Amino acid sequence: MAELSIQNLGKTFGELEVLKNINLDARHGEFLVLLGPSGCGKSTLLNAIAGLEDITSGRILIDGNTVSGLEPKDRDIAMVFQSYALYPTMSVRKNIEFGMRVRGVAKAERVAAIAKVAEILQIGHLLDRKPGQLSGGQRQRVAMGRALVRSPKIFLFDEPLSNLDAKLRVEMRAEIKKLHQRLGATIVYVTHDQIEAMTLATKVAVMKGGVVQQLGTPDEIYQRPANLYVAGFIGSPPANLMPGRLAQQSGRALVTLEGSNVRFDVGPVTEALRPRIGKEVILGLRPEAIRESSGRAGPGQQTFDADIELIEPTGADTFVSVTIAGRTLTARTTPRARLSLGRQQFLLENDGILVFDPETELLIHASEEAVEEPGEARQLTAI
Amino acid sequence: MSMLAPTERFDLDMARPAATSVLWKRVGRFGIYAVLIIFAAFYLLPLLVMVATSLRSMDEIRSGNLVSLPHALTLQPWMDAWSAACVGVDCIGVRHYFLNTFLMVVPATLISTFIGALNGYALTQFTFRGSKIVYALILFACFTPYQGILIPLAKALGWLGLAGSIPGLIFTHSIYGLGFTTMFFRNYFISVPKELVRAARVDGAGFFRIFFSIMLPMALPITVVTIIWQFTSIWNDFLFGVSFTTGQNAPIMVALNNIVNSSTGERLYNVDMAAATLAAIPVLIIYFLAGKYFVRGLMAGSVKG
Repeated sequence: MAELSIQNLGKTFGELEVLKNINLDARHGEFLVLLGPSGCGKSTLLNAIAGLEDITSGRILIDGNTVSGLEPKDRDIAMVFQSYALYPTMSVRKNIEFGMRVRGVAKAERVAAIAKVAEILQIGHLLDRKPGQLSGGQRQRVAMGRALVRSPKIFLFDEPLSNLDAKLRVEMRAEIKKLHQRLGATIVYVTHDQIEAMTLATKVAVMKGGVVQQLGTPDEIYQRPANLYVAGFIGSPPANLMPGRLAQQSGRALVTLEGSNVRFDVGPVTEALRPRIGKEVILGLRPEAIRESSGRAGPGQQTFDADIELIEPTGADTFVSVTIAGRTLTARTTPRARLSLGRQQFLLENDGILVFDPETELLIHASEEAVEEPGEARQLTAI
Repeated sequence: MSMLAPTERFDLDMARPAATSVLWKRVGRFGIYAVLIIFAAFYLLPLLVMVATSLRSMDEIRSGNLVSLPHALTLQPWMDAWSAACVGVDCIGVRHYFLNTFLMVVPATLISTFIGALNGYALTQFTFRGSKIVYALILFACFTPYQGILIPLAKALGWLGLAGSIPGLIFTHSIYGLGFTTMFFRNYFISVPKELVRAARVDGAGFFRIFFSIMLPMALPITVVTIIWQFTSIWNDFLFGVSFTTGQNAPIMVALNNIVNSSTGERLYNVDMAAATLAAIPVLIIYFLAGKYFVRGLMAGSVKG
């Protein structure tokens, strides 16, 4: 059982505050991903957990014990680095063995541990090679083997896939997920790739400017982004954000886009929306909730007209740039959609609508009309 | 025939420029080699004169053909230089001083290289207030002239009770070499990725464990460079040797000077040349054996491999 708890953690480099009041928890077996752009402090946070960076304030606890002042070796953690950091003069076997040697593990035990790890990662045939003789993917496996062999309480991964080519990255991503399912270990994983975060994590912490913007399951982060930053970061392409004004009409809340009379129905007037009627808001539309219209809107849907500016087929999806009220929106449609440049009617799924406060940038409302009764909605569409 | 003719002509046209370009390439190659050989010969000429003179008898030398090859080879000057030539008042040859120098050069080279490696590693691991100034001072140490530290050093050696002895020279050369050795290793270790040390720390290794198990094995090329550099400069040192040793404690360069300067009566050029060649042999051997590592080591920092 290994639990990680980070409480009110802060870190400054001179005047520069790189981590601000971080609070995170990872329960046993949880896969926590720290996600953010470069310079957001995610790697610094990981290094602080590892004990490679001192912290300025707050506490780090592993299984309820404060480890903040301890050396990395006394924290019972293992780390996989972005550059793999294999010892170049040692064979793969020696690389994996090094940590155990330093700790004075008996030879028989070491041999058994290496054999086990080599089998799990299928690197048995590489044991006598030097790191320089391995491919990128093989080095990655050895780096994981070096972490795995120690059976630590917590595994730390620092952008482990970013040095691999696209195909290998997808393969290794799946392997890491399988490994996590098999070991049930607690993992903290740093990445700037949201696909990695979404596929691997049981919990994602989106970071920016040394602050955790949102902590939640991948689904929560996607469905209910806590603020404009998360909405603009998650999803590929991310949500379309447009300023508008909130109005009320027969119990429904409507957003009128700035400088136009284009209106979107964002659902019934809720407690959160009521005080903002007549005020400015930011409307967010998920690109995958917009598609070409095949006639009338069903329940949980609405239609709007827009001009197609650009059509970009990518194979699986076709991205369409459309202009509405002087702004460009991106829609993610299927390649089967029959599209041509010019005016066209589009369909919007209501579950792709988000409303934000322009001042605090926080989420006010996420429409859940279609999410609540997906079965019913589908049935009605079929009829 | 008439059908084939155009094709043949076409082939010939194609072949002609190709043949001339190959010819020009060969001429160019020949020119390059010729120039290189002339330069090599020019550099080797003094060595040739030295070795040729050392293999002549004095009679032949007096007849005055400096550059020509010896008519009658004799190894007597070499034997005299090794064990009978007069160094000052002791007529014992360079043998004894040769040994002196080895006893001085080997420990001094190893000590200064080892401490330089440790210093260089430490300088890349810790960034403390004023670490750049420390590095600047180390660079300054490399370019401090011998003459500048001669008198303070003499005082210090006297105070330590090491004056006039081989341990005194070992001490002097070890300290004086630290500027160079620290700089070499520091510049090498600065290019080692930081993550490597971090990985070792997570693995549980401490400062010295990381140094001995990971950094030092990685530093083989620069270690070879440093050893060659230190061996050569300590072996070739004259000023410290002549300043801080007396009589039979002198290193070979001082002894060589004494041989050349202490001949009473006729000057034995052949013995002088044999002694000089003997004094140069260890350095030549080091370069022959490790020269390619020297070049590789110097390149290692500049090109990422």
